[in-house]
Amino acid sequence: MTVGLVLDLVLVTAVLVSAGLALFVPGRVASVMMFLVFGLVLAVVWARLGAPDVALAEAAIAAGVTGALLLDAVTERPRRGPDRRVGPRWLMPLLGAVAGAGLVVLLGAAALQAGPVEPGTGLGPTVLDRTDDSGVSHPVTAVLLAFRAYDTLLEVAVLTLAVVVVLSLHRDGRLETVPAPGAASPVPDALVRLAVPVIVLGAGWLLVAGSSRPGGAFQAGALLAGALILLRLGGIRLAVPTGRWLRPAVLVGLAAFLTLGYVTVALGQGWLVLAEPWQGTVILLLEAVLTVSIGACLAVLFVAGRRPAAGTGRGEEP
Amino acid sequence: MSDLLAALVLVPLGAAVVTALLPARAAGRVGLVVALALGAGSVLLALEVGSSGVLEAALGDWSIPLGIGLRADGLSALMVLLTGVVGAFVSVYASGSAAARGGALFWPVWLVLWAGLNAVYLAADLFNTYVALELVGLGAVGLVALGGPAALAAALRYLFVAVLGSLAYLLGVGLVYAETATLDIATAGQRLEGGVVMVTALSLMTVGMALKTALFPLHAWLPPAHSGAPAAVSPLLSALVVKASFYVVVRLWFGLPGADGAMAVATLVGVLGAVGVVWAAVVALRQTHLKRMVAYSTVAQVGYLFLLLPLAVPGLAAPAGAAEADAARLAWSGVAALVVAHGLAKSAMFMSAGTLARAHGSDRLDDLHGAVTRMPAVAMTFALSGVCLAGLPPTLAFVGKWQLVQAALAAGQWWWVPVLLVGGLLTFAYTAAGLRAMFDEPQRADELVELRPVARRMVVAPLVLAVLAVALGLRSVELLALVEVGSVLGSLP
Repeated sequence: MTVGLVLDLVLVTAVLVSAGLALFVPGRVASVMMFLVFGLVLAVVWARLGAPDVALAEAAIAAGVTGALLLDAVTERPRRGPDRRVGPRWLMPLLGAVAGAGLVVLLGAAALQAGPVEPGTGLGPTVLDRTDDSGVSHPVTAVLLAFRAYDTLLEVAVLTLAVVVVLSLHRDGRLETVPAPGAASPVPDALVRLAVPVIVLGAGWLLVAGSSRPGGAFQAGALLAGALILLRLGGIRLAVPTGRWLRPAVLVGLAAFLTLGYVTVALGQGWLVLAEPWQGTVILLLEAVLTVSIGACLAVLFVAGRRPAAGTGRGEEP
Repeated sequence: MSDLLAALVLVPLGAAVVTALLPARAAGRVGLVVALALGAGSVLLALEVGSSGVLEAALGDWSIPLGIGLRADGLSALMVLLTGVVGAFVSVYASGSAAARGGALFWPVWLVLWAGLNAVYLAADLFNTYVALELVGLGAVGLVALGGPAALAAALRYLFVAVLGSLAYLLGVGLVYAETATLDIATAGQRLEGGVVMVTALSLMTVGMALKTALFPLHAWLPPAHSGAPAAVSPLLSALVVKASFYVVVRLWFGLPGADGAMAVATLVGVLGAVGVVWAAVVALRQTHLKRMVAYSTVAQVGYLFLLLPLAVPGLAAPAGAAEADAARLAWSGVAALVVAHGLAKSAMFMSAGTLARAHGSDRLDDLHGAVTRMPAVAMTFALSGVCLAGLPPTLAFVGKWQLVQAALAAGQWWWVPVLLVGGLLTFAYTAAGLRAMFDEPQRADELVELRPVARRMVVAPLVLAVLAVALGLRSVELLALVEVGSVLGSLP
């Protein structure tokens, strides 16, 4: 038995155990903690599978940002009453178990039969062949911002839409009434001073590195959001825009991406067609704007999840 | 002309950004102008596809399968056209009152939803369809949430359903990609050979989409979400949003080859649709609130659409006889007619219900007494759209149901015929129940609630759509010729 196989077995076990614990451990905070652990183990699994980009995204967004949002949700809000129960006590667990087992059998059978695609027939070799034509040298970035830029544009729209929808639950679609931690900041000042520059530097590195190695706007944006939230918790209210600059900050990424499309079509090249020799520069600039916007979006989501000060907003639960 | 395809997605997205940045009044004006322009653009697309055939485009000039393709055949063009026409009329309706919109952010969210709908209809790529579905789902949830604190619980439940449906679809996409190494629907269709993987993938994706389309018994989320939404949102959800996920079902079943188990899955789906037609109509009859009744009607009408699968799948199998192929063709154009008819009639019905609720301060049937004399045009819109839904000649739904009946007989599946007839009768029954409440005169004059004024466009816009749903029955030939453009059924014997 090689070391690699042992490591794989440990990882697989850890993924299953942490997933199970996240579902069944009593207490919501413990449950969210296990979800965080699950996300981190999953990130290691991705790295082990040779997908460092996915690993970074998993660690930054799936574990980091989602974990922070979940933790904030379960610690701030009191638990609601028991859920409405349909039928006898054992019915729902039984149905769930049957459906789950059925899905596992079906998917297992399909996964054993499916592919694997013969080497050389997948999209991978094509992507590697054409990466040089895209203006960037990292294939994942080439897929995200050149070959399948339209998908990425729509995904940016999904994130922006999520923030707009959350804002619509607040009065006038603004967040000025959400209280920020004041003098009694939960984060030590020294930590903020130390951590924020390091995080911002890391975000910048991920952004610039994305054109030649793993990294990119989404991962950098998640890091930036972390820095902004830390600053706000550290008492600097202006770190996360809540008033006049709120919507421009949230929308600038989508607006820039769309403008790129409009310009290319106005120049007669067709939607999102980037030509030599500018394409690499344009992609890097676009990624920089996206990083700022994604960072703002995620930080705003975190702030908007908090209740507005009493009697000032529509954010109360039904 | 192929630049028009991406424009139908990226123009509403840009307009959404603009309306989110502008103050409320200016956003309303921009929103309305863009909505009318999009309506015109979708008519243009339908004319172009109708006259010169399938339109295709590869974004960023990256060839398929490396890049993402857009494709508009007849069915895509028809769906974009339905979205454009209904969307433009509902936008006019929405501009009539702030309460009907539910909040200042109505315009950006609705325009993103519109972009998402067009993106679903024009996608030629399995993963791109997933992203577009996310836009549609999140946009629809956001519009429901505009209904205020009372609608938040329904919106949250809708969010869970939408995400669950998307994930089931994505699992299926993963399996198809593992099998074919491509995300392009046409290429995947050529490379797939059926078998366990195909049936699993198709089943997963169908379940996910059926959840979003509210196929019985996966429908429980729909009535609270559609009836709790603001007046201008409910017609968008019922007429357009449920159609997007149904469209994906059609694309998958007609674009990817069937396998041995496919007919069993199709029959099961058809049976569930048939049960939904009857069951939801009976529940609609028992409702005490008008908007809830109309929402249950949507669950019932969606059931008809799923009859397409059992009627068409035998015709798609490799050695199809002439009878099966005929049945598939009839079912295809019949269901297309029903999709359009329901889109027009249900949006008219929900808009008229919203106008009545706005004027009377409630949509409780008992509060609507005397509406027929006090708001005759609105009551007539409700009645007309009910007639269209029930499928009386000469409406468009009659054309659709007639073709489905013929398809059932041609396929030797006579048992769907009574479902179509009983469903029509029940549709009459609940429309009549709603109308009866409007005809009832209260015993004492002081029981009449004082009417609040409503903008004229909130009366006229639904009336025009209802008249259109009747009149299109007379011009259905052109409409149904459009869905044949680029259809896989063209190559059948």
